[in-house]
Amino acid sequence: MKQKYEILEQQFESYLIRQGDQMVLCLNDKETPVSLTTCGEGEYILKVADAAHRIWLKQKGDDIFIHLAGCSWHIRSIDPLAALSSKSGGSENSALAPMPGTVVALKAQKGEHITKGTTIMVIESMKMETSIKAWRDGVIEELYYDVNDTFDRKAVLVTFAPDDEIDDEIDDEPND
Amino acid sequence: MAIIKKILIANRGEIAVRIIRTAKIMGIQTVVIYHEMDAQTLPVREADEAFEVFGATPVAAYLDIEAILAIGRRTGADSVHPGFGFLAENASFAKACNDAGLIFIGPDSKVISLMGDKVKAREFIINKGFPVAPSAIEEDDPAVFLENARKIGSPLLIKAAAGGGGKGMRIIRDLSELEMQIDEAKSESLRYFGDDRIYCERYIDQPRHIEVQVFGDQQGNVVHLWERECSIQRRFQKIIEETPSPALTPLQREQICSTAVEIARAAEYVNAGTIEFIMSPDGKFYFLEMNTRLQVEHPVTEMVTGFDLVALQINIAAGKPLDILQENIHQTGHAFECRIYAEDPDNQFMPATGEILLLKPPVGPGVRFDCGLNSGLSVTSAFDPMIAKVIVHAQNRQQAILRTRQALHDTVLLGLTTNTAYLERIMAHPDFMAGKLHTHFLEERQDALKGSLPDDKLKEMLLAAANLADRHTHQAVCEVPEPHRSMGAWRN
Repeated sequence: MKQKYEILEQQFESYLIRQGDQMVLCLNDKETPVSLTTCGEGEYILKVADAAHRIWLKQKGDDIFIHLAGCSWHIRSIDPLAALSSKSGGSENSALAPMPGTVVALKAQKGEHITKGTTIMVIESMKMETSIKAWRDGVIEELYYDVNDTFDRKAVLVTFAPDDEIDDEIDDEPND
Repeated sequence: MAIIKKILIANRGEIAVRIIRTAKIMGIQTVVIYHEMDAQTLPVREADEAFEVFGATPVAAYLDIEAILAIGRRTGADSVHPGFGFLAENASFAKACNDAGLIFIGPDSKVISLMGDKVKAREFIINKGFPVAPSAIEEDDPAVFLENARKIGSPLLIKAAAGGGGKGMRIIRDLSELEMQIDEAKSESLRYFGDDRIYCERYIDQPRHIEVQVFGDQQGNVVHLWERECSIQRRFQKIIEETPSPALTPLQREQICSTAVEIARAAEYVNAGTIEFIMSPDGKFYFLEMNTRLQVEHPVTEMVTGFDLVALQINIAAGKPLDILQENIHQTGHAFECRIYAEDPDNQFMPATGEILLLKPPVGPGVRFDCGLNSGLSVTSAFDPMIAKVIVHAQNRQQAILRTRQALHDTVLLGLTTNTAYLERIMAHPDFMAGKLHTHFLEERQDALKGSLPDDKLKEMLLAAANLADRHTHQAVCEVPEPHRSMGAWRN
């Protein structure tokens, strides 16, 4: 029942227990009575020990957004299973957009074999242009955006076909 | 004199909403254009009629002159308000509107053309005897230009003739790179503005950006509505503006404002315009550029003078004379505008995208919130990341700062990263409170303005809220029967 949350790239473990009618937060070996009462659209009264705070909160999937103490906070719920797998920000077969932007030019085609260092596409954000270059030799499996399309940060821009050599190795890792 | 009954608004977002608001008060009908991505935004719902426009990119849709004119004909609009950005300073558009019998709510296409070409504008200003910063204009012989540029001395600015608004500018401190930087600037300028002409200007260290709002009517009257200071900038873009400027003595204010009026008169300027100046630490000011449109920060002028600038624009376009005398235009109190951007100030102002899960504007005396979005809409990289403006007025600068900070504190925008906390930190900085501003203010104080990590008490509150709200956690806890529930995570 332990929950892992990430705030500004720091991770915290905590959990809730129920003592009768009262919810209690267990954090760092400390137990504190807490409650959250709704009083409007996204609006709540958060009670921690004896202090009450007016907050606004919205959740979308694993992302929890909270307005508290005059600031907006983004808290990410860390799925323990996902933490075990090697999924992170992109694999060796795909390139993620470093920032939101627009595709200015495509310099390679789907199915094309290109060498490391070749420019695959040129993207633009805030009137700054960046070239996405091939990080290894390979065959382009898919280009996900056309010229003039817009994308968000961390969007998958291009994937290489998996390298044949890696596929031939015996996979000893358990499946996710 | 014409009667304006139906305005076609060739714009989007908060400025479209703002124009519609005034039109409604004046009993004027509105038509707005929109790209599919903006279909659910406020202006589309607020206007009397809305028509979709198309383009290779969302921005291009708002630049389709033919489509806009066709919508004008179809709806029987008698006038067009271009807002700012997009076609607002496009002389061909202004002319095309007038040729099509649509009153362009703005100045004449000739003056738009003059002031839009930054090199021609400077030449005009110099010829009329107004002050400009030492500069070098391109000549036929690139070697001569390079020599003249070098003579300006370091630091200097390379600017695009077809640029403006901070676009296409670079600062050169090391003159040995000058030739290479000039080449790069020209190619960049050609790419972004279709025009590779550039010019160089002496860069004033610690400059303050002071601009003056002017209005001219069709009868030849010109007035000013005082100045605005816009020195707080990141990436050459303004993020906090205020009026009056804490930099000016009453005499300097009088000088800079009357110079602006003289420039507008010399250009036979009609409708709303802003003349931007650079002020050096020794109190000298120089013409920077003239913007022949309504500006983003116009609300601060409205707050201190009490005038509705869009209403003035509409009346002037209809041929009405400016019914106000200069001596009756006063500034009362102090006003700030903070631009809320979807970006991460702690990560080089990287633009942010995401769905607005909750938007709750700040309210209170002297607080105004201009926004074109609401909860449920997404902010994408298709358009400029400015999503709203918080505008606050109070009796004096000190009070206005406190009120603005509270308004930023109260602005709830959940779902994506914005700069509201950063704006509050700027306003809390002792140098800001002392009015010691200049255009490198933010750069110089980068470290001091960084956000701090939450303390233990705050972390506890956030984790409490997250645990309680997180559906999975809460449900899991409630489903476990006693006594196991109270035992918590204890296990054999």
